[in-house]
Amino acid sequence: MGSIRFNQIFKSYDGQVILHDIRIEINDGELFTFLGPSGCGKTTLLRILAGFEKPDSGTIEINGQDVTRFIPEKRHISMVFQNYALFPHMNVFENVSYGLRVRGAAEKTIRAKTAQCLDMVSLYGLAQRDINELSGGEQQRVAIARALAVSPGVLLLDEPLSNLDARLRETTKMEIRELQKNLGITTIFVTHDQQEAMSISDRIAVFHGGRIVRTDSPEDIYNHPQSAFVAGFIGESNIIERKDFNRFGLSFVDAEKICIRPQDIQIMEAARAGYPEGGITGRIIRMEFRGSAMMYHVLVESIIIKVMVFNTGGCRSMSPGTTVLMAIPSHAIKTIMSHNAACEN
Amino acid sequence: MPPVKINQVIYTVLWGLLIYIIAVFIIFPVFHTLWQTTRTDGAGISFNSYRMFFAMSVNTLALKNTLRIGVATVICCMAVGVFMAFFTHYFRTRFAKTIHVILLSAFVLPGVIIVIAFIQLYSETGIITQSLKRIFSLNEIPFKFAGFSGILFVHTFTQYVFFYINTAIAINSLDYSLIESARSFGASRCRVFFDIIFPHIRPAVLTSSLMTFALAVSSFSAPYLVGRGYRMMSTQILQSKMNNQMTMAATQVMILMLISMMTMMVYSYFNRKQFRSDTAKIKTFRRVPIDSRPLNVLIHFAAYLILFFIVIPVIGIIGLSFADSSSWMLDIFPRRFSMDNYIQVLSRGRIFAPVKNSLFMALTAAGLATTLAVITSTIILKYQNFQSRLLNFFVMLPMAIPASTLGIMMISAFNEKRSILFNHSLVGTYGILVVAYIILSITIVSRSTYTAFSNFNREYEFASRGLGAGKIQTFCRIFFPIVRPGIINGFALCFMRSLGEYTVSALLYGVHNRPVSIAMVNALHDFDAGISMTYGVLIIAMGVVFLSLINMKSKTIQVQI
Repeated sequence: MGSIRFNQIFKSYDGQVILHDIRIEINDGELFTFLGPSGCGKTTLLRILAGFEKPDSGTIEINGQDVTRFIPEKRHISMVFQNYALFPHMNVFENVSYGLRVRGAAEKTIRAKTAQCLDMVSLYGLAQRDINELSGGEQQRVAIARALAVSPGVLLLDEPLSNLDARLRETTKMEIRELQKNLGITTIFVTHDQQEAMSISDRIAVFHGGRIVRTDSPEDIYNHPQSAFVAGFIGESNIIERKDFNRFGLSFVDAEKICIRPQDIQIMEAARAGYPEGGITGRIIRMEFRGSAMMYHVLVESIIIKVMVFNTGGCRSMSPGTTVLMAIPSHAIKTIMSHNAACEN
Repeated sequence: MPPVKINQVIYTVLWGLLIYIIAVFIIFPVFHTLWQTTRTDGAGISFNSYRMFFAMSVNTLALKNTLRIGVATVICCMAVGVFMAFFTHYFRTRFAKTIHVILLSAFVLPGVIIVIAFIQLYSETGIITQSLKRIFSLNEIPFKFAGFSGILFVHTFTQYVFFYINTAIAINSLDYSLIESARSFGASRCRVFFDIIFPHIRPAVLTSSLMTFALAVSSFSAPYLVGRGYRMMSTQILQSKMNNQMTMAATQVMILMLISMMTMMVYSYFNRKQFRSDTAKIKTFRRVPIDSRPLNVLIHFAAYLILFFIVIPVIGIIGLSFADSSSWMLDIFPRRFSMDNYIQVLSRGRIFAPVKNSLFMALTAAGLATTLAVITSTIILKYQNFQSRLLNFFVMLPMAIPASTLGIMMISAFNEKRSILFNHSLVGTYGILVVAYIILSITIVSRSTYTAFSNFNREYEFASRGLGAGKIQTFCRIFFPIVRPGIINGFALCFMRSLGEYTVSALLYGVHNRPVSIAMVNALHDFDAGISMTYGVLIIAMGVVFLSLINMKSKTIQVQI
C-alpha cells in the first residue's frame, strides 16, 4: 500500500497553466477524491501521478520515495480509465491477466490470481467472453479486476462511473467503496459529480482553475465550504454579499459574504403566519418539484433566494405568486472567505 | 558534449532515408519531366513544346476525347454505383449481402483482366456478340465493342466502385431519426429523399465523381485494348514514346498530370468539407421496403442485369481458361475443354516465369510500401510540425500521378546513369517495376496505416504501461495487434494492385521482369486466349488465396451491411 505526497506540482500546456502549486498528502489506505468541473486539471494530476505526463516542476512521493522521474511501469500504480481502455483484441481473461503476464508471473499464479479477481467483481463466468460482448457495467468491472490483479500500491479511478446509467452508477459506487475498504488500497477517485464524491470519499480535494481550493472530509467541506466556489459547487447554496446583509436582517454578521443552504431556511405562507421577529418577506416566483423535496425560488427585493422544503407527504405546496415569510437560523450562516484566503487555506 | 539520445539518432536517420526516397523517386522524376518540356538549346525557359502540343490536332483531339471519356464515365458510373448502393443498402431487397460482396470484388480484380475478358465476350468475334448474332439471325454483329462506347462500357463496369462504396457508407451513416422526424412533419417519401437523403449522400457522390474522373482520364488498358484508334491522352503518350518523341511524350505527361492534380486538389477540398453528423447518438439506418410490386420487380431486374455485366467477365475468364485455343480459333465457341492450359503454365518455366515475376515483385513492392507507410505515418502523427505536414503532402502527391505518366517520367528520369542513384541507371533493371508499383500504391497504403495509427486509443498504451509493461512489450502486445489490420489492409491493397498492374508495366517492363499482365496481353495477341485466361485465373486465385489468408489471420477485410 502507499501514502502519496504531491509537492508544489506545476504544469502548463502552450503557456496555459493547468496545475498551479498542487500540494496534497494522501494517507495510506485512504479513498481520496479529486473533485472539480471539467478542465480544472484533476485528470492531468492523476496522469502525472501515473507517470503518463511529466510535471513542469515539483515532486511526487509514494511511501516517501520520490517517483517523479520513474517510468509508469515502475510506479506500481494501476489505473481504471474513464472509457476503461480494455484491450479490444483480448478476451476478459486475457485482459485481466495481462499485467501479471507482462510481469512474468508463473502460469499457475496467473490463473489463480485472475480467477480470484474476476470472482471479486462477480465476473468469473465471463472469463472467455470478448470485450465487445460485455455491457458497460461488466466492462467497468473487468477494468477494475485488471487493475487489481497486479496488487497495486495505489489505485487510480478516472471518472469510472461516468459511462454508467444512474442506477448502475449507484450500486457500482458502493461496490468500489466496499472493495477498496476490504483491500485497503490507497485509491484516488476523479470525478466532477459532487454527490458521488461525497458518498464515496474519506477526503476530497476540490479543484478550480488548476488550483486546489479546499481539501477536507466530505462533511467538513459541505458544512464549512469557506469559499463561494466550493459552496456553489458542492451542494446548492445562496450566497449573500455584505451590501445585502441588512435586507436579510444579518447586519450582525462580520464577513464579506455568507452562504446559506436552501434547506436551512425556514419558510411559511405570510397569510397563514404571524410576523416573526427577523422575518424576511418575499414572493415565490418559481417552484421545482424534486420528488423528496420542493425547491422554491423566492424574490426578496431584487435577490432570488432558493429555499428547500422536504416533502413529508402531508404539507400543501405553495404556488408561485404567494407572499412568504422566511427565517434564517444563526447556525445556518456560513462565512465565506475571499478567493485568495480560501486558496491559502 | 551532451549525450545524444538514441531516439534522436533514429529520427534523424529515418528522416534522411525518407527525404532521399521522396527526392529521388517522386520529386526528381516530376521536375525532370517538367524541365524536359521547358528546356531550350540555349539558355532560358521555353514553352514551345506546349505550343506545339496545342498546334497539333491529334493532341487536342486526344485531350477532348480524354475529357469526354472522363465526364461520360462519371455519369455512367454514378448511375450504376449509386443505384446499386441503394439496392443493397437503402431498399429491403433480396440477396443484398451476397451482391454487396460481389460488387466489392472490383476493388481487388486487376482492370486489365476484366478488359481482356470483355474483349473475349463482346468484341466482333466475342462469344456474346456472336451468340446474339446467331440467335437473332443477324447479318451484322448487333453492336460494336470499340471506340468511345467500348471504353465507356468497360469503365462503367470496372470503375463504379467508388460511387458504390461511398454512397453505401453514406446511407449506412444516415441517422434514421432524421427520416422519422421529417415523416412526422408530414413529408412524403419523395420529399424525404430530396430533403434528407440526397443532401446526406451528395458529398459522397461529389468526391466519388472526382475520384472516378481522375481514374477515367488516366485510364490506359481500356483505351489501348478496346479503343481501336480512339485517341486518348494515355495512348498518345505511348504513341509518342514509341515514335521516340520524348519531349512531346513529356509534354503530354505534364498536361495529363495537371488535369489529374487539379481534380485531386478539388477532391481533397471537398473531402475535407464532407459533413458528418454531430449528433451524439444516431439511430441506425433501417432499410426501406419497396411497396409497389411492379417497381420492386423493375428494381430487382435492373440490379440483376448490372450484376450480370459485372460477374460475366469473371465467369468468362474461368470458363475460357479451360478452353483449347486451337479449337476455339475455328469456331466462335470453344469446343474442347481440358486442363492443358494450366499444365502448360505451371510446368513450362518460360510460361510460368511472368507469374513468378509478378508474385515476387508484388510482394516486394507491398512489403517496402508498407514499411515506408508505417514510418511516414508514425512521423506524421508523432511530430505534428511543418516537416511532417510536408511529408504528408509528398506521400499524397503520387495519387495525382496517373500510371501512364509515371511510366514516362521514370523512363525520362532514370534512362541514364544518375549520381543520385550512385551512378546507376534504373531503366531496364528488374527493380524499376518494383519502384513504380511502390509509387503507385504508397498513398493508398499510407492512408490505411495512417488511419489505423490515428485511431489507436493512446489509453491502451497508458493502461499497458500502468500494468507494468515496458515500451517494447506494449508495442508488441498492444499497439501492433490493434493497428495490424490497417497495416495488413495497406499491404493487401498494394499487393493486389501490383499483381495485375498493366499500365506502368507496359511502359517499363523488360525481358527479365515481364509481369503476368503483359504476358496475358501478349498471349492474346499470339491468339493463345486459353493461356491468357489461365494467367487471369491465376492472378484472381492468388488474390483470393492471399485475401483469405489475411482475413483468417486478422479479420481485416470484413464486408458488412
